[in-house]
Amino acid sequence: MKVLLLYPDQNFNFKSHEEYNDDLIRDLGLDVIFEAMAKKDAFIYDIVKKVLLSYENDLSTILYRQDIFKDCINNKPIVERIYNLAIDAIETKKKSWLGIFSTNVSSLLSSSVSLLKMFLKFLREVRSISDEYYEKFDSTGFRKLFSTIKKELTEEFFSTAEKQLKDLTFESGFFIKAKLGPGIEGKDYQLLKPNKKVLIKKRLSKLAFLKPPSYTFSLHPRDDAGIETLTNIRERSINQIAKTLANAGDHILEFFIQLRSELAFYMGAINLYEKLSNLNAPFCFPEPYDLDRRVRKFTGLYDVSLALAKGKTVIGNELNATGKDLFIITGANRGGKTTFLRSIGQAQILMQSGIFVPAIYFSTNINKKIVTHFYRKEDPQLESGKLDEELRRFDRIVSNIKPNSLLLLNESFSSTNEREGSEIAVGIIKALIENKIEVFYVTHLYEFAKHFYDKNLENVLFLRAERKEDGRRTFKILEGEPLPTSYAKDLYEKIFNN
Amino acid sequence: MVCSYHIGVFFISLMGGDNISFKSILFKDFERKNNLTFERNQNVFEDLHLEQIIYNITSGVENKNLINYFYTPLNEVEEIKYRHEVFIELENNQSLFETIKTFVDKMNNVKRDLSFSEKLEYQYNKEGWWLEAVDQYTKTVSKLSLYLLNENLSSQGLQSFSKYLTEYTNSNYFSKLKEMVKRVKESLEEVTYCLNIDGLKVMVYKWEDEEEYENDIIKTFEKFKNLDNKDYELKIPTIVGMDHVENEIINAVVKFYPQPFELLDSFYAEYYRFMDPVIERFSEEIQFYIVYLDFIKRFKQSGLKFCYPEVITSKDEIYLYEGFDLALAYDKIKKEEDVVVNDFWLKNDERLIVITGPNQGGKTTFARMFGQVHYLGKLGVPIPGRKAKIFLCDNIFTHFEREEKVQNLKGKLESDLLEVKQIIDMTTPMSLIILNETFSSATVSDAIFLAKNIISKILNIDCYTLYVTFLDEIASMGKKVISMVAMVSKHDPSIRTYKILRKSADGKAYAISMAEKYSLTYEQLERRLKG
Repeated sequence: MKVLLLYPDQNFNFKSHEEYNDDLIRDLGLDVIFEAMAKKDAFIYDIVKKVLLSYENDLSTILYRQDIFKDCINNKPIVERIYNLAIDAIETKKKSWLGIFSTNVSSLLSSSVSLLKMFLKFLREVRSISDEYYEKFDSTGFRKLFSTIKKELTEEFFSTAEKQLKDLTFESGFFIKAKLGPGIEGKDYQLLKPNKKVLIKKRLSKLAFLKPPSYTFSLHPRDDAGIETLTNIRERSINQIAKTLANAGDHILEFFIQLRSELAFYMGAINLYEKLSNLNAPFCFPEPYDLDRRVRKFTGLYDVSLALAKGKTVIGNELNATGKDLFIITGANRGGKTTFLRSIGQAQILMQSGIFVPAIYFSTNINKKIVTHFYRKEDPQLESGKLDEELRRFDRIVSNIKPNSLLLLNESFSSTNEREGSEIAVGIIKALIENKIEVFYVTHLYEFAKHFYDKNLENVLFLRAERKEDGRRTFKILEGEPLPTSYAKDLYEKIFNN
Repeated sequence: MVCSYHIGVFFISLMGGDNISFKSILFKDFERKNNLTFERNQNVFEDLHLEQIIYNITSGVENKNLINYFYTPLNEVEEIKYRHEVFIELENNQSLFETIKTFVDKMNNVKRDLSFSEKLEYQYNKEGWWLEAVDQYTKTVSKLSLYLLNENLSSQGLQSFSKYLTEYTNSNYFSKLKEMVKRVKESLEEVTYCLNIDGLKVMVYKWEDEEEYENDIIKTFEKFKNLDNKDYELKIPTIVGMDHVENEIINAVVKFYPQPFELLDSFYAEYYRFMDPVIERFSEEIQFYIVYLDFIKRFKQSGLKFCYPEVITSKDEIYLYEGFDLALAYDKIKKEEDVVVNDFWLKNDERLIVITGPNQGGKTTFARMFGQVHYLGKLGVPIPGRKAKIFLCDNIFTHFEREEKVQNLKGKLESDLLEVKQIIDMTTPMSLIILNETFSSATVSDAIFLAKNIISKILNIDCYTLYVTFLDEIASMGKKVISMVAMVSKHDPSIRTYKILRKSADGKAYAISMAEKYSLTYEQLERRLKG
């Protein structure tokens, strides 16, 4: 029984220990988004972090999740009820489970039997919720979950399970079948269903001629060694069953954990949705294109981390580009270039996670991977070591990058002089875009930018941070050729002449 | 009829009239084996790290007898060749190697079951484990015999063992044994019985087609199944050997099914001692080859080479290419570090290698390698190196500088001299001497004087010698002495290359640009992204 609220055909693997890309979180300011989604719930924080950082490449999965999320918004109380039910079931196990410290077969079996009895009650409740509200949900995901529950959790299942759990309390002893193994010692001990003939014979023990032929003996109550042998035989007969039931308990628990975890992602998305609504900040459901397309169309795209941190709406940007592999962004310092770069990355991750994005309109191709390489001014290293560090980081990126990835570069290779930096950058960027990597490059390396500008390539677009005639910044990023000087002088004057 | 006659002829021609029946896979002349002695000078095994190597080879082997074979070097070229042939055959025929390995494991199980059976209390239990041993034995021996018969064997040792095995498995005795064990086992396998355990009360009854419960229960809860089941490590002690309760249960079972047990009783009485002594010995001796080949596998996987040296008793020339210290390489490979290989050769009258060079430059390692290959050569095993010709020495003498001996009352130099004297007294022209930093406690002029005198004594004996020293002066003492040097990187003299050369080679200077260092130039990146 699978939850399938994140993928149409498989569970989301929350246990995978893929290493977090800390650079990505830091460069794009993703932790602010995680916090807004978590609303101080550590569990949700953990889940949204995992799901967002494993953004999807598959277009249909993205749309599948968008539909489920729309259902969540429309049926928030019911979704919350299921979410809380899952939490209760998980708590029950934590409170009642005694078998966990034991490697003893008998105690594992009896713990499992009583845990399963309790889980059956929760499953009955899940069943009744899904019967009651099935009609209110439109998404393929929720509809499939409810019909699975209806199909699997039948009355027949409940009654069979309850009968078997009762038999496993062994009121008339253990019925065991055996064969002769190596050394003429018993082997293949198998539990049998209670044998009625044997039960009769036991009760009428004087009638020895009754079938089946038998021989009976009793152990002395103080025959410890003998009692141990009997225990051993008994435990070997229930060994597999004890494991099966313990696993069944685990699996039902896992079902509840999976249910809780997958829903937690949507609970987080609801939190973010509500927060942005309160700020009156725009958001929309994006329209993704396939991996190998090159589409970047959006209006009102803003840095959502910035908006959340400031608690108010921030300036958005627009772009309408198709067929571009390289975006070179130049222009004034503190003109909104880094913010722009971050908003590109954030929206891409949110879109590929299957929820809404912070923009009025947003439509781009999917990317295989989203990678950042930001110049770190704060690194406490000697100048001479900085280029080494940058290149080492870049080398790691190249080792893992795949075609159709999105690479966001912020002032990369500016730890050396412009000529050297440009020289290195030209070679690297040329190789990257020739090999299907999409690149956004915020840079001061004028020689580098000019090199590509002079080539006048179809697939390269130049953007510039806007500055008005009077030197004022609008924090808008517009199309524009690279200019030989940056605006650092302005900034300097503004700060020192004030 | 025609067929068996034909086979007979075939064997006679194959053996070339050499009709000695098979005795041992380790010794061509089994009777002469007892004359083998080796001056088991403890220092040699310690200095050359042979103890360590032998320990590593044989660790994990139960049969402690095996270790002795590694301390019993051979003195005859013929005997060494006998082992080489078997080694080559096992090394080149993976399936033969695996088959024999399995055979050894199974034979060990047979022996274990037998000795267990001896210790048991209840008769059916005893007979039961004995039956397991017979069953395993007949299957194992038949399987190997059939396999070897269809194999085109090239080594003399395995050929004659195969012949022996064929004769044995075709014997009446063995056929009868096989038939009996099958009959007894089959009849015991048909026995199925049931128990009702209710508190202290046990009812044993005959099985009447009752259903097992497990599958029903599994089916009910299957719907929650997914791929990763937690593995509950339930501790049910496996008690092997019956106690009184099991014995009582089995005695009840005997009443329901008397026949199989009667069969077992009579089989046990008649065939109690069934194992063939020659096959038993083979199963022990062949482990010498198995453990060694298993041991060198890891080195080969790391790209190191082993070879079968040409072993000579004349002194025309000796050489080794791409050799290495087996003990050091073992540690390096464990740590996933590179192993440096080295060559040496001595031609015509050249007898003595003097090694000089910086500390920690690999000189001692080279000295150990020199000694190890000569010792291993005497064991008839493949030795480290791509190609080798080595001398079949009668003895190896070592004198290594050892720190723990400093408190010697006679004074360091005096004791050194006494030890060297002792070595020289025992040395014959057929011996091998390895001296490592001998006389390092003396002043330079004293040390030069002593070393030169010792060397000329050694040169008079005319035995092969290796001398590690910091004294450059003794590296040029005529054409019998050759000089080798531990090299350093030309680029950066603080870097040791661990190469020991007869001549110094030129280092290559290089400079890498930053981008090239990280493979980030346009051309490099193109290749990386395409690949």
